[in-house]
Amino acid sequence: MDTLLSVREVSKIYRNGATSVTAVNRASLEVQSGKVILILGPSGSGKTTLLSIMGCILHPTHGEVFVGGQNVNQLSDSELSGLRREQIGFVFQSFNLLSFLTVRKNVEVALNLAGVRGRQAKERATEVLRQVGLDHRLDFLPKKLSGGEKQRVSIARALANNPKVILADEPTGNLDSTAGRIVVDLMTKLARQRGSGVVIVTHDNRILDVADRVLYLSDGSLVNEAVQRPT
Amino acid sequence: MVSIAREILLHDKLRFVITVVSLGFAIVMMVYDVGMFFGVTSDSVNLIDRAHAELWLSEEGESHLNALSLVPDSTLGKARRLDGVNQACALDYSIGNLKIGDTRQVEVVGIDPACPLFQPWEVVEGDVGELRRKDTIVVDDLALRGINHAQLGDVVELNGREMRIVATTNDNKSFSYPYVYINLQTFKSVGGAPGHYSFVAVQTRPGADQDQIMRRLAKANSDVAVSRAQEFRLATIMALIAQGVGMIFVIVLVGVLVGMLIITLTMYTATMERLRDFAILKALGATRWKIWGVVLEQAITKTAVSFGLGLAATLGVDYCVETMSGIRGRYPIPVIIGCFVMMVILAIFGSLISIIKATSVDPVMVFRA
Repeated sequence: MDTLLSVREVSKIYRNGATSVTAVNRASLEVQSGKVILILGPSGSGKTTLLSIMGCILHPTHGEVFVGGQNVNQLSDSELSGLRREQIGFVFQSFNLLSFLTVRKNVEVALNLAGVRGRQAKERATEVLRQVGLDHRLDFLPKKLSGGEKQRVSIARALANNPKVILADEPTGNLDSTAGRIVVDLMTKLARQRGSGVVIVTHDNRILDVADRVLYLSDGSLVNEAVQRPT
Repeated sequence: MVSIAREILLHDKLRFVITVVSLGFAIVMMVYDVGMFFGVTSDSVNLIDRAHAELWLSEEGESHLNALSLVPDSTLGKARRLDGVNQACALDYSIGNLKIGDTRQVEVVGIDPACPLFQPWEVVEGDVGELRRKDTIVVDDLALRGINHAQLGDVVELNGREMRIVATTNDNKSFSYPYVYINLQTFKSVGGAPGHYSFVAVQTRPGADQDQIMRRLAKANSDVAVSRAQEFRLATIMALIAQGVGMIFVIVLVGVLVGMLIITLTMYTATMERLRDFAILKALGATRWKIWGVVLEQAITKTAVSFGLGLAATLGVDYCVETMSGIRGRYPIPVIIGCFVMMVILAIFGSLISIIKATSVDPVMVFRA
């Protein structure tokens, strides 16, 4: 099975004068094609820090991150931006849609950044929005959408460039249970169809069943693991 | 391709309109004053530019057109007799009062109507040659505007002396007052100094050694300064600047500073409000250059739209001022392009703080709720 992303012995230590805080402590995991990993843990356990490191947004203090077999520690900022554009899709708790753009343009921007332009970008954005059931909201601004719809736009944006890995930070955090369930099912289904790996960090126990693997993060350390469903 | 900059600008249309109107105002201050400077200086030296003369003789220490220069009338004869001189003509020049019902100020130009070096241009009607007759006058139509309209053949008063209009002209004016032309003899009767002219202009023969002619003219005429036309022109402009026209530069500078301040403030506030959006773009993989581009495109778009508005407003203001007072600006294309380029450069400089803010934003902030 293809390993799309792996972190090896990754730590993140924040220092402030004589004080240091270890947000992530020697965490290792591998993300494989078509698989969904759920990282559970309470607030402040280091889930988001670990996700930021996996997303090549934050540099680890120690350890290595590999995306597509490439060690990202050796890449420049510009190369890391390229990696994020083409190989990683993000879904955020607070959606992070660009408020001044319509639904379709929010998705088109991600495509434009990856070098897809013009009609092709427009068509691909429309198609992926159709897949998340928002083809009737293409020209709406985000403020006109419900929370669930916003998160579906976020999923469409994350999937638009067919990334190797989808990283989702508390995707149900701002949604009611029904809407949360719908968007997580949608995200994992579409990712599996594309062969993308998915990492979801959450403290929402209600979505355990979508995961192929569940990891527990406590005080920055991955301390437990359970197999949730057969492959 | 989605233009993020354009989408940001047009998302809040009211803010965009307020910004471009404010910036347009600063641009009016700058462009109008630059245009006024070119208009004033150009109009002030049009007698020099239109004279077919290479050398100008004036009283020592009074070597510019607006100076109270008096040269002895013998200077003219001496210049004409000099080897290498093709033609020499006298010119009298002063401010006068023209009465056509009401009284208005004019610039009185005394010329020899037979001398080809100085002739009124853009003659609308009449015959300038009639100026050889006593108490005749050629009047620019700017002086004829108003309720008490006069026309060809009418009698008007110049400095209290009655004169008949024998021709009218268009666009014969200095920066402030229209020109009226009378002959040199008539000039003496309306305030000219007996035995003197204001200036003598000299046209040299083709191929003649001008330096040598200048030396000979200076030698033959003590207390008379000899200047090349370009020097005389420059001295006239410099004298105007020294007399207060230079204040225009201060107003231009204020316009430039106000413009830069507006760009800097609007770009800064707009960028600070959208820091999270820039963080999102960075998280999605936008490079530092892409963020530069978004901020700069906004600044340049605002500047370009403001410049268009400002230029249109400037031309409107200029038209109104010229209609009311005859004072007009000049806006040569290279000067307009220069002003635009300068505003764009200012916009880029004014955006630097915003660019630094936007590019240095930490994309990790997208994970914060």
